[in-house]
Amino acid sequence: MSTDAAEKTAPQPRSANNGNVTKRLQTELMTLMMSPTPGISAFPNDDLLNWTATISGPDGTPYANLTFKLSFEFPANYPYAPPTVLFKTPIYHPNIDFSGRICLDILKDKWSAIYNVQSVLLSLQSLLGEPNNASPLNGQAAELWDKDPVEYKKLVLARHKDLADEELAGL
Amino acid sequence: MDHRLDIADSTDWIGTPLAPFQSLENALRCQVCKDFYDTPMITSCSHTFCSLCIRKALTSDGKCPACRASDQASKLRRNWAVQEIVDAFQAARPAALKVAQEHGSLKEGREGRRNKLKRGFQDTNPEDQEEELSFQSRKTRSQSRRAAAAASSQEVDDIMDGEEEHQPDDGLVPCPICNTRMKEEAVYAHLDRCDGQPSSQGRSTRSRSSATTLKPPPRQSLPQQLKATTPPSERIPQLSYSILKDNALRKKLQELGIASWGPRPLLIRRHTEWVNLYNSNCDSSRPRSKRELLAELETWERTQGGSAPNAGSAPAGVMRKEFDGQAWARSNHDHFEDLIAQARKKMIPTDAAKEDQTGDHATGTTQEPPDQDMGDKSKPATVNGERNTAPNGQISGSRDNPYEGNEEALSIIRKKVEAANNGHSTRRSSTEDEDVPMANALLPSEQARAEEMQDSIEPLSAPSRRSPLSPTRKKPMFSVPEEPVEDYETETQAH
Repeated sequence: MSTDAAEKTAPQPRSANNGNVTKRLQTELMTLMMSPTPGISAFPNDDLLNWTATISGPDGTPYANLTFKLSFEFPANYPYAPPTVLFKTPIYHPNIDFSGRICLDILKDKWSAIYNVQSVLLSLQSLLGEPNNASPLNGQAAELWDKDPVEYKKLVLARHKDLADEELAGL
Repeated sequence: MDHRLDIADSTDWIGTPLAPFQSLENALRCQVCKDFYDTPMITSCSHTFCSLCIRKALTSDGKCPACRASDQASKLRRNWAVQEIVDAFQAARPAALKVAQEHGSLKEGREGRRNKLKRGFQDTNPEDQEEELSFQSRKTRSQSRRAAAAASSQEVDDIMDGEEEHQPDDGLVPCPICNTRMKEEAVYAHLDRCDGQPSSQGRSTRSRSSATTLKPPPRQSLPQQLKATTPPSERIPQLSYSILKDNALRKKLQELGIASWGPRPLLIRRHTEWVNLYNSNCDSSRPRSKRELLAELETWERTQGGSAPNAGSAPAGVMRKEFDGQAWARSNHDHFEDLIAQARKKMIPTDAAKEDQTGDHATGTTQEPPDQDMGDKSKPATVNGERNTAPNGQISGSRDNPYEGNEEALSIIRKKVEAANNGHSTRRSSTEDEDVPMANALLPSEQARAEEMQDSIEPLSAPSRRSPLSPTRKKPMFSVPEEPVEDYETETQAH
């Protein structure tokens, strides 16, 4: 239904009319393209208000050498409200649930208008290495993080592999 | 947006000899909108943002976006120095960038990413290099001079603007001596007492008078002082919405001359937006007319306000926690039924077609097609023994149809054929009119397959499709002749 609605309302007038959001996102895109930061990337889909991004797991963490895909959806009053960010790649992490929703303060109440796609991606990258185990979405992961790093890493890899399988099945 | 492709951006400097300008330019851009500061305002915590940006940010959470210190819109102060720097930089930017990019390309088009004039020039000769360097520095100096000139002309413009356009439309007139603004009828009484000194009416008045009474110093400080005299038109006070009843709120909106329809939350949001727009316009040294502001509010209404496509709904892709699936299913029951019915409708003809195929296969070629078209087509088919044509236009099963039973592949092909036929219908039908018999005789299998495919796509249009001259008749684009290509050619020559 959601995709249906999106098609009906035709993203074009929405993005074309809302000059401020569009302009800001264009600038962000330009910066990302022209001075890329290693380990992160982002690009809009058909609509400038919907982006797909990737981050690579930081070295020295259980997520090293893994790449994660995310989706960004920007509200019409961006940057005064945070974008909706979801992990599209299945990920095993204390602060991310199995449908990819992220518990990160700067994406909720601590959002500030000066944040941008790049800073959000960098924050998420560091969240991978430093989970906030005080308020977990995935209790098991929070527990294992300290208790059993080996098992944790195993679960991370297993969960990441799910995607590879799913993608293969989809193709 | 028209300027989608040529947004000035700090990354323009990357790869040019003036690469450090990137950080300079970044410093001159607002962190919220990422654009050059427009009417920069400084907060109590000494951070600078565009007036509209910081006002919007403060109304959304009451905190400075940079440091999260609490602040209020009423405590914002203008930051004229930044405004002036930005104006000057923007004026100098195109010239500076042009010079920088030209140099980037001269230097054997090294990583200069936007250099379209890449030349295969290799600067291996140290002398060349030296020469170039000196050239560059010379160029840079002259460029900065040009920039200064541009900046000064910009400032002159500002002065003109300030004199001509920035008369606030508040019904007051300035005293010709001290420039204090007052009601027209009060001017004469005031002139009797006026000593040329400004009355204590706030800093903007004072700075204006100093600019006019003291001989204006050369341009450097003049524009700044003149700018400071910009319209002291009244800011709209923010309302404490909680103590206002709906009707009182509506009345307030009407008084402000903005739309007053919609539910209370929308009224509040619209009022907030308008206050921000209006007050930031008051801050501006180049204020816009109220009509422009209203147009901007209209844009807001379309994109975020009451006329927005999905105002207030959750972003798509995430199901809300309290989402009631059953209620959703109930309320959309009709829609779902519709979709199911449509899907069924599509299913049934396909099934029927399959039954036809098997049935016809049994009867074989004994039935003679009723019309000429069918006769044309069925003759070679019978001769080849490959396909049997039934009177209803259905093709019975063939011996070696690789797609038979492969519903997935068939559906893909059907889609392609349909698309191709729709896209080329006019052209194809016109050519077909001329050599229909030939085409029919030549390509029986192709024709037959076209029939087959069209039947499965739109079974209801079968009767109208029969006549060979009918414009609705289409040949498929993507069907493969079953006979070898040579056969096709020899037959063509024979005709």
